[in-house]
Amino acid sequence: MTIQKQTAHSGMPMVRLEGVAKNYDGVTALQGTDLQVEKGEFLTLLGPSGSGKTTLLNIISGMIDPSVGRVFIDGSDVTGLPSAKRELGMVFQSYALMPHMTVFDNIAFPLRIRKVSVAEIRRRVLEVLDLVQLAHLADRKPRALSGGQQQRISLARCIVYNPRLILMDEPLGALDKKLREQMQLEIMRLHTRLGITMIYVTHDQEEALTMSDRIVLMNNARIEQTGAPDDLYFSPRSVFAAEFIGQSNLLEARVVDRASVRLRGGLVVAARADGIAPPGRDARLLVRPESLRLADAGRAAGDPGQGLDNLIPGVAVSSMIVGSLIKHYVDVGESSPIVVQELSSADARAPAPGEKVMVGWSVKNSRLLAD
Amino acid sequence: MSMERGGSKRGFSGWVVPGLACLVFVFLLLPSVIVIPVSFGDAHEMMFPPKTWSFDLYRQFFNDAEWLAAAWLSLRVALWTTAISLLLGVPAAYGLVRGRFPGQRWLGLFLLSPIMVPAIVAALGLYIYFLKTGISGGELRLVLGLSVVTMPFVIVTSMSGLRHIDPNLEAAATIMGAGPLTVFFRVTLPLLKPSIIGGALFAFLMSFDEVTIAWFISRAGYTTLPIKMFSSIQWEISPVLAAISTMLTLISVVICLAVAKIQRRDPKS
Repeated sequence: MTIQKQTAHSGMPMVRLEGVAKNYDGVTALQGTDLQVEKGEFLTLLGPSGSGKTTLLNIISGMIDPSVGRVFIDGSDVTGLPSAKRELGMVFQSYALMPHMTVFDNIAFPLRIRKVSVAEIRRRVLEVLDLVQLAHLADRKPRALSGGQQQRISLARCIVYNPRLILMDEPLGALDKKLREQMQLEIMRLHTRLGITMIYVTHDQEEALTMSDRIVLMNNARIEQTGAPDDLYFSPRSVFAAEFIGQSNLLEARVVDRASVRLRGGLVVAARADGIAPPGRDARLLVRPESLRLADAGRAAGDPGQGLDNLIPGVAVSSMIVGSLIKHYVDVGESSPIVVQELSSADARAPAPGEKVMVGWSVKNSRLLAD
Repeated sequence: MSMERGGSKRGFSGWVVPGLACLVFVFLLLPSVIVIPVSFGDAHEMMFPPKTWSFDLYRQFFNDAEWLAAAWLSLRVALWTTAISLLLGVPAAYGLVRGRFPGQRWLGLFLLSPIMVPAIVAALGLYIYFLKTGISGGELRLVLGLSVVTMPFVIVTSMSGLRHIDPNLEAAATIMGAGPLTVFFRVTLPLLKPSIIGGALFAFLMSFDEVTIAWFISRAGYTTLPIKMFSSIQWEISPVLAAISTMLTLISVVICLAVAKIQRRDPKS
């Protein structure tokens, strides 16, 4: 068996970037960046377009030389080393399969470059074709394949030569939603089975949350926050991170003291403000829609009940059922209605538009962010 | 209503437009086609329609050492010109499309400039140039002179072909471990083949047919087929011209059909 699970036998990281930056004629594509990718890790570079994630990926692949900084792969300094010598694999959004070669020849291509014997090539190509379950398409031209099949061939072409690292640049961007979810599982399966380090670029936060061991969130040519998916979702450190990942309600707030903030409407609510001193400072209070609860208007603001620490009055704007979820839009005096999300059920009651309601949440589910 | 509109539309575009197109086509084609029956006529005078039918004119051509020598020279020159145009034009196109260097646009403009210069001006320039540099080989002069005007066409077709090749294909091959030469010969060149063949056939046809420049720079004893035809029409009006014209037309048509076929097979165009 040539396709073996790669094991993290040494503590050395697979990729280490030291102060890497890239400028084009005065335009900064990537600010000074440090990053470490562990062996066997599935790391996602997430961010909007122009955030520098593709630049970062291409610096690792060697297609772009950094203006400053050093790139280490598996402990050795590869800064300035041509792509061809870095022993990497890359999967492109456009698949980048050679249109003049059959599926078999496409997968055999990296092996032929490595001067592997004909018999060995045949064995290994058929092996990876089995792995991606497309052995029956070996003699087809890529053009005759569907997008999903082409991307699986493109993955097979990477796996076949056992690169130490596979880079993926929005590989599922051209596929429709259903196929994309299927391919996400497929890629995760291959990652678990082969243990290859993977660096994955996407602008789709859901995809990043689903697939990654760790997410590097990028914005404005720099790293905004790094962490495990739940870390980024529950503990964003900036308004950008809170807005980019998941749905969010960001209430305008001004710090009163270490334990409370004043909302736009003048109400003072409990919040952990110790991270954001001093009092008087403007901030945003993040509460995820699923952390908010609707309560009857009859309850007093001082008596939240239901384990809620805060309760503020509002006016129902509208409600809609999205399959298993129900979303209530409530005007609480912010510039736009906030969203309360609950599990839907047949007997769920939605307040009529214009009805007075109370919206509550507990302090541990909220997070104060510097503006 | 849509039926009515469809009907009236078909009435107009169905007859008038194609009819006009056919007339224009016939008008353009007739001069070339008329030599074909003439070429099967009498060996002594050009006449349409011919009074008698024969292969005499073709026989005359293939028995005349001078005509054959001219044709042979034209063929050799055209082949060399095509080879040089490809050898210089394809790499130049590659550099212009894939490269990043200062003055790139100006270099591209410079390399394509022979297309913009009137043939007669280029011819005069080349004449003076060869006089000054002392390049005196008759055939060499023809090949070099014609290469200057055919190379831009090879560059243009190769450049447009290259623009249709996804640069990620080359990037993918590179990351998989292929060196620049491997990438060029195993990925770029095979994908560029239809454009290169198209450019080559075009260069061949142009250099085989070229009169103006060849006339200026060829020396005594190096008479290409078109030059010989040209002088023959001035001095003797030999009916054998009709036979040669027919054969040239046939070659052109075959080459153009070949180009069309190759380009249709090319999935990207």
